[in-house]
Amino acid sequence: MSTATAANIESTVGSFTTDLRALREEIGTMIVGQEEIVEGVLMCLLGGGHALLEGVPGLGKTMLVRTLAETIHANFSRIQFTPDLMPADIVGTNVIVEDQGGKRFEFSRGPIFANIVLADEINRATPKTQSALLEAMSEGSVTVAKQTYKLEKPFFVLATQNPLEMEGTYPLPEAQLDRFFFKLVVEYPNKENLHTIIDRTTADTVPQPRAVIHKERILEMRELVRKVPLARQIQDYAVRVVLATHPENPEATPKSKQFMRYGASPRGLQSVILAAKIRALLEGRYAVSIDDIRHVAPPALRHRMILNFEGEAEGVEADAIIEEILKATKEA
Amino acid sequence: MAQPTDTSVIQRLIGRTRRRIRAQWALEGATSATVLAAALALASIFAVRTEAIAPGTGIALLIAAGVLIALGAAISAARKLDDERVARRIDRASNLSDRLSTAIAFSHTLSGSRPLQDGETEEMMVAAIKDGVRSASRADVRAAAPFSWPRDLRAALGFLALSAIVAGLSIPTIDRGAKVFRAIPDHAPPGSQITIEGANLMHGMARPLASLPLHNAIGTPQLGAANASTGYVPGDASVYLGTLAKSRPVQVLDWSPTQIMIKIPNDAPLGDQQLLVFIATDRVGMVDFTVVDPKDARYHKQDSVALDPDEKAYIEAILAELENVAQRDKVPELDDFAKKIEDLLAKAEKGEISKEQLLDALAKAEDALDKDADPKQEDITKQLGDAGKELAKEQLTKELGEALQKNDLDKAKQELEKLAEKLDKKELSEQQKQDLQKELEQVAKDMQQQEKQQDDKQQQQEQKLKDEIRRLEQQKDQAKNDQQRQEMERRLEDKQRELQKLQKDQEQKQQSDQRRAVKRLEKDIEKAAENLQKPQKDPNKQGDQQDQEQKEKQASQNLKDAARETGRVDKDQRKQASQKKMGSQMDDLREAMRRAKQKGNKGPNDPFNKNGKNQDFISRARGGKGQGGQWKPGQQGQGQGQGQNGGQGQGSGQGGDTWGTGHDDNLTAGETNKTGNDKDQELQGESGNKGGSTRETILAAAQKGFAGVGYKKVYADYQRIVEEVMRSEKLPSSYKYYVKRYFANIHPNMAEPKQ
Repeated sequence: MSTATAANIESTVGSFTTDLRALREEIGTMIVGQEEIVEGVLMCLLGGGHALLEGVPGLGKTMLVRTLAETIHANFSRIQFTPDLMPADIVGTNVIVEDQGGKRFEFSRGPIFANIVLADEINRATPKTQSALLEAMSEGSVTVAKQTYKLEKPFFVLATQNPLEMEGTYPLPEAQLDRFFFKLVVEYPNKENLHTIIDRTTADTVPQPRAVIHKERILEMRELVRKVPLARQIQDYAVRVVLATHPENPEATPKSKQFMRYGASPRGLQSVILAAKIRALLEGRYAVSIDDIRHVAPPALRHRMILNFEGEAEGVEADAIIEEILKATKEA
Repeated sequence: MAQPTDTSVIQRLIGRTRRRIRAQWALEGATSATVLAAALALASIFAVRTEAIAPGTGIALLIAAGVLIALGAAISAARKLDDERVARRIDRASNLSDRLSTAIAFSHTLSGSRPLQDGETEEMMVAAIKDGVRSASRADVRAAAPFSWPRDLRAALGFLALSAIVAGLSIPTIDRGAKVFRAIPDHAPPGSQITIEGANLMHGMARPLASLPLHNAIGTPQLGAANASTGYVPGDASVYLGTLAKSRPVQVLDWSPTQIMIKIPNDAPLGDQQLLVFIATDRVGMVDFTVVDPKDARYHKQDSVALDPDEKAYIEAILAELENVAQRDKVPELDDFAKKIEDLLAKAEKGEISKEQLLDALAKAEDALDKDADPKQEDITKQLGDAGKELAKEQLTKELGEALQKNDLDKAKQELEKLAEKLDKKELSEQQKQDLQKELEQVAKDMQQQEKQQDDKQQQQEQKLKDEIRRLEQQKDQAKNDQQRQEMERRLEDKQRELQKLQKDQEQKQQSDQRRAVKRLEKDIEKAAENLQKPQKDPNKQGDQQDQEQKEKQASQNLKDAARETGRVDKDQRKQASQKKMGSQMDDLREAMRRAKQKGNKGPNDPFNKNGKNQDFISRARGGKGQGGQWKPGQQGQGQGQGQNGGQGQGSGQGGDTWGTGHDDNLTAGETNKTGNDKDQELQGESGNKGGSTRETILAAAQKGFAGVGYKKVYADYQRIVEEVMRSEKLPSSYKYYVKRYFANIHPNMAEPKQ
């Protein structure tokens, strides 16, 4: 390998970091605090996945998504999920159009056809409607009346949901959940952040985010992410962590054995690795470290772990099991 | 394929860190192995100390324990430790986010044969390696591989300490060195044999001699008669008496592994000293020892007899009297007896015998003296007296008869010898021979008859007692009430005792030397009579004459035998007479010895509180109140007496209304103090006109001296009366003893010291 090539890589990674930092800073003009959530959302964007944000109403979930959409030169659409929302309302439908040639069916695209889709309060829609997103999220395409329509890249769904125990919510099917790259839990802002929020939102001048990155650049960055290497031992560590979520696996920890019904899927492992690569780049490194794995494992795995009855009854958090697994799994 | 980047910087870091890690591992391994090694070492030490294994084996095991530690360190340090693992430790310690470990991993990947991904990934790997190399400067090797105390250090130290305590303190060391503990006894007079106790006293001696008994020991020194010992005496060991500065050798009688028997020199100086024991030239040790005066009662045996000087003098006086009587009466047995008692006293004085031994020896000596004594001496005397009466009828045997009548058996013996001599010398006429023959025949018959009568009488008495016993048994069976039955039983027991005594007397009589001598005398007289009987044949015949002479010789011999037997009877009678005369002294001797105290300070000398009772008696005698044992005041009968005019006390007793609940040790309390409040009354005689006036009395005394009887005479009179009473009355020997001691103390010779 020539020195020039190595220098190119370093500059590529450097620009990646720079662009990403610029994007974060722009989002930061609107979103106070929630750095981890912002970082998680960006990881989902760069990893080619989708993000599920969970939190009580009013914590700025929708604001975050809107801000993200505004900072990227990309199409944005918002779907407000309600119980009476139908799948066609999302993906679109064929309608009769009269023109000079007569009447014909013409596909009317739904709000899903956008680069960034906000599925607001996704768990308020029925499972049937929720499942309308399945193909779009996994395949990046929509099929209506036997006609498949490719969605433009980057296609990024940001779903928000209220905690399941709230009124009028429907739990997302496991298959649907598995399609989310990360599940990010939005916490209530602390005192300092609340001050900042009030200062920014109640003044006469409200900050307006600007687009700092183009959607093509996002695709380039996605490609770079996938080229980040990781050592076999680190990959092995990630594999063992995921295997430890399976109660029947020898790597399983006591809590995992006691409270888990099904562990994380391979898709979860993919999410962990990709997210770890993104974090390495974010940190200005060229390879993944075990710390990266540890850092991204909770958001990547927590929604993919299905608790058994005992776990549900005990109110065991998936994060607690993941934490135990991360502590128990040896590095090599 | 990209060229691998130089990772030598990282490799050096890894090398340094690896060395540190291996050093720490070696330390850990050595510590862990120390636990096992310590166990092995301590087990070895224990085994060596308990002599379960030889010292050589123990040393080998100790070396093995050391090797075990080194082995543990080597095995631990040699564990597999790959580069990535070391690099990851550095990453973790230096917060390098796996840069070094990833660089090493990618370096291996790039240099390996495994197919790689696309070129851009390879470039990313190279970039990561370079990033790792750049980060090497931030690596902290010390933090990555810090030296620390081994994990098992506490366990190892604890185990060592515990094992050391167990092996070192609780297990006693077997000490093979020779040592001495004590002398037993720790005090003794010169000439005594004592034992020095010790351990391993054969240590340091030649083994064949030390392990074999005397008769097997080759080279055992020849022991001269002067150095006579009871066992093995090593040639290279010795015992000294004295002090470290000045000591003298002591004769060793026996030397064994645990004790040494020695003899204290006869001229050893008295006082506290040491016995120093040497084996070869080494001093094994010394023990304290006191050479004591043999007369010092403090060092006598605890149970040995102690005689007060007063008591001893009294016993010696009795013994002297016994010896005098023995010499005067020519009774060697009595003399022997006295000498035996003197020996016993000498032993008692030395503290060698206990009181029990003393009394036992005295009883044996008395039994020996009384052996074969005749219980009815008067029967023999009467028998011989009657014989004498018969013999006195003839002129030839008149002297003999009178001697027998007077029970002068010595004279009778001489008379019998004279008769025999006359017979031998043919000084007797035929007529005299005939008369002698008749007399002797008659005497023999009389004696036989008398003996038969005595036997008959004895049998009759026996039969009578048996009949009486049978009758009492019947009466007892037919008794109407318990009282009668008890009375019958009492009488029955009396008769049975009487019968037993009679039978015992008969038995003694048969065994009596005197009685047997009388029987032999009787036979001799009978045979003499037979031999003196004149044959009916012609005396002129030569053969008959020789026969006659032969018979006369035999008769002479028979008379000599009779004389000898008479002498025996005489001797036995004198012995018995002396014994009888000395019976009182024997009682006194027995009582004196019984009263001898035990020397030891331990143990009660007054187990029955006689002293206390004496005090009580004295108190009551002085008008004090008696102590009633456990009788409680108010429940005890109390008496008060008050002397009234004329010294006549009138007692008025007030009895308690309830009886007591306890009792005295001797079951009876002291007598009620009837004269508790007696006062000395002063009596004043009334002046009369019958006696002389005081003035006249004093005047007479001044002129003539006070009228009175000599003390010696009074003493003799009183003593005689008292002895008669004591002979005639049945008094316990202890009471007699008191009376006699009283008279001994007020004896004129005692009261008036000789000028």
